Amino acid sequence: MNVITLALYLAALFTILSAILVIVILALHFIKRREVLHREAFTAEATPIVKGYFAGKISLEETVDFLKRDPSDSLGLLIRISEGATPEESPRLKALLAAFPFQQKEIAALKSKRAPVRLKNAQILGYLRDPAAIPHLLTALDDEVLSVRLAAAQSLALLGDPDTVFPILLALDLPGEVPQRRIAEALFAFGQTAAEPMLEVLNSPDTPHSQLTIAVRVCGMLQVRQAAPRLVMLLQHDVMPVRLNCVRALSSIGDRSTISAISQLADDPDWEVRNAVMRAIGAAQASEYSSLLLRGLADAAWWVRYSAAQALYQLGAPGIQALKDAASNNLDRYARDISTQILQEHQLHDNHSPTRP
Amino acid sequence: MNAVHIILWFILIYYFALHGLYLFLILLGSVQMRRFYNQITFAEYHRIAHSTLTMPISIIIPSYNEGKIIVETVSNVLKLNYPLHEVIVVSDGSTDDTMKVLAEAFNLRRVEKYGPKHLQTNRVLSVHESLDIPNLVVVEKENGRRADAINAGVTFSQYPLLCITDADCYLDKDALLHLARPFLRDSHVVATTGVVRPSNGLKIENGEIVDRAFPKTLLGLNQEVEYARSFQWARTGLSRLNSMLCISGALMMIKKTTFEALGGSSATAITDDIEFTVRLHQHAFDHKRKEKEKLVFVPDAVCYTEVPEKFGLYASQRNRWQRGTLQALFRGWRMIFNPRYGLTGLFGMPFFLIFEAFAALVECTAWISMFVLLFLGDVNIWEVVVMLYFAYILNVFISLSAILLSETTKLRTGRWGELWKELLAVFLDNLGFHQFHLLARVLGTIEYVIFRRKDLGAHMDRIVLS
Repeated sequence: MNVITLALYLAALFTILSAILVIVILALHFIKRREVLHREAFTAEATPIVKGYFAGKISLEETVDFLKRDPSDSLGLLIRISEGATPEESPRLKALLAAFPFQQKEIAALKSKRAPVRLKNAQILGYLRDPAAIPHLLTALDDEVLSVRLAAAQSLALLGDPDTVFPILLALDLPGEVPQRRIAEALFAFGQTAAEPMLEVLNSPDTPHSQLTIAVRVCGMLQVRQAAPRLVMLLQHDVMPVRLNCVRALSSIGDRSTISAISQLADDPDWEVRNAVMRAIGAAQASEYSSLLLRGLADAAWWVRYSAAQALYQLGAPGIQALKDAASNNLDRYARDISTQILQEHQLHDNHSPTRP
Repeated sequence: MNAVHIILWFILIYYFALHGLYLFLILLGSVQMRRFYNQITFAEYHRIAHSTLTMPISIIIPSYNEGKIIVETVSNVLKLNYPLHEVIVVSDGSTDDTMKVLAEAFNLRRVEKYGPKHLQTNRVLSVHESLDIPNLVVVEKENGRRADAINAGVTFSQYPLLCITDADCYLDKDALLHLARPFLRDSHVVATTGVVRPSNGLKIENGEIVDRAFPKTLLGLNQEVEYARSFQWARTGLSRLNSMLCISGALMMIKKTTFEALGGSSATAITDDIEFTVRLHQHAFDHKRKEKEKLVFVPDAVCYTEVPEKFGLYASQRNRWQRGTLQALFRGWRMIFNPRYGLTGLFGMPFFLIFEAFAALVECTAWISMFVLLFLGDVNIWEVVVMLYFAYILNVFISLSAILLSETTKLRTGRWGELWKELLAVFLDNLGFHQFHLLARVLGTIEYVIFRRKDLGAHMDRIVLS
């Protein structure tokens, strides 16, 4: 075939396709715009009605009747409201959600072959706050897709049944910082309900270190004081993330009697641990360890020096004086630099004082 | 078959391959986009925004003579929805009133501040902190190009994630949440980027985007379509193939450890973002390292950047991009067709070379050949018209495909008037604008290859959007 003829045929084909595309774009724009306008109008109308229901001014029947006009947009609206619902509003919200036939549909969708459908519904079930969903969400903890397992865990946390803490920890026991962070977030969402099971994990001698790290982290986040003695023992653990999280957790719990044990890690081979130790001493305002902080000003790692200087500042007048002395007299140049910086940050540096020869 | 036919076949095949690949990338991008949205749940961003374990971010804004707009830019990033972030503005030897307006707007005071010196930079003249806003740091340094300013900003950063943007950029309220999400899901992710769209037409109030319209000039509109086509859809597809070799300097989030491991941005690069992206790919996808690192394109993280609406500035910008692309390719030539870098070496780098770096040269040669053949009487005017129309309609088809897909996302055109303008720009693109663009790039190629030009070209006059 002649090249020009071929180009002509192709040009004609793409002209027709382009014309079709223009028509489809215009049609899609029309449909999408209508959808958006409808959703905006519905939300604007429904929000005051739902708020009126929470305030007791509008009856449940009236609210449900209105919301049933568009169940799909209503579900989205109720979930948004549910996110910010106060404890006083929760019973009324529960009654409102119970009036919709959502629950069964979402539970059935947990068995869908499509992971995105399972994921979306695992999440919705948490917001619907119906304990009947718990067994199904527990099954979803074994889903082959991690995101679905995490969504199920988060929904279980919203439902708040303490018996589901262990299954979550077991189902999501994964190595690596990122998954552990997400599991800790999910368990933290249980609130104090998670404290007891976490203590059991800490006290069990056979706990794998990935689970141990999560338990330590959650105890710190929840500030579980009963965990402090065991956390002190775990400061000597071989695995760095366990030691690091123990220091952080003990600091967060704020038990001053543990500072002595924490300070023993000031020479840990890992700078992150040393950094956490400096921060912990500062947070506890443990002035008896100021010599340790002064030593930290000359640490090889910048972050340790920074945290040591900040900790000295947190000690108050004696720490600030020590910082001023270090800024002008410390033999280590890096210690002088970091001390000056922190004094500047807190507007305490005298610009006329001799620094950095 | 004579020489004329060979030239015509070459033109036809090249155009078809170029646009075919773009269509493939756009379709691949749409599949990726669908998969991406399927994985997102409504509560996820809410959780990231409220979790105490969300990784904090240092936003670095290099700035050179941006006194007109810098306050709005800084206000915009300070108001982003994120649990913990700091903003580091680096005035790179500005000779205008950048420092003065910043000092007045944010109540700055000079401090002594040092950071870990992992990266060498030009001399830092002073560091300032705000008395009102604790997470704002302003660094004043000797001029050393954008890359040097970024490196200086990184030196003063505290947090494990860096978000690098430009002084003329405005970020969507939730852009940081969207960019950070992949890092929180997968520890192998080392860098993310998002969609970049023109900011001309945005309405900004106190640093917040309150309305979005399209640029008013045809040149601006033309770039709106171009950005939708290449920055949004093609890059989503390229990201799937580990070949997103130009992460825009307007929006990049990267792990600080990776940034430092790469030695930071290169101050000798003409376009430091392209050069850095090539090096980042070389680092992340080197099979010998066995790290399995990932670079992720996030299609719902949006950044708006100013595009030139004057032909002189537009030509200067595209000339610089062309020279920068060539420089980055020459620096990373070892990756081209190298299986050690997987898809990046076998597809991304060759694609970048043949269909990005040399596309302008090949297209220009094709146009000139057609007219030479017409002048010599080897082809008639009808044949030239057919070939020109073929090139035109392919371009229109690709742009329309991109707009169609955009209509399915949250980046869809809001108003009817805007959609008509966009469609008009699609049909006008290849009637002079595209050719002007080609010319600027061909000049860039000649200036780089023959004259070794390495300067940054003209500085843009900024539009005040508030």
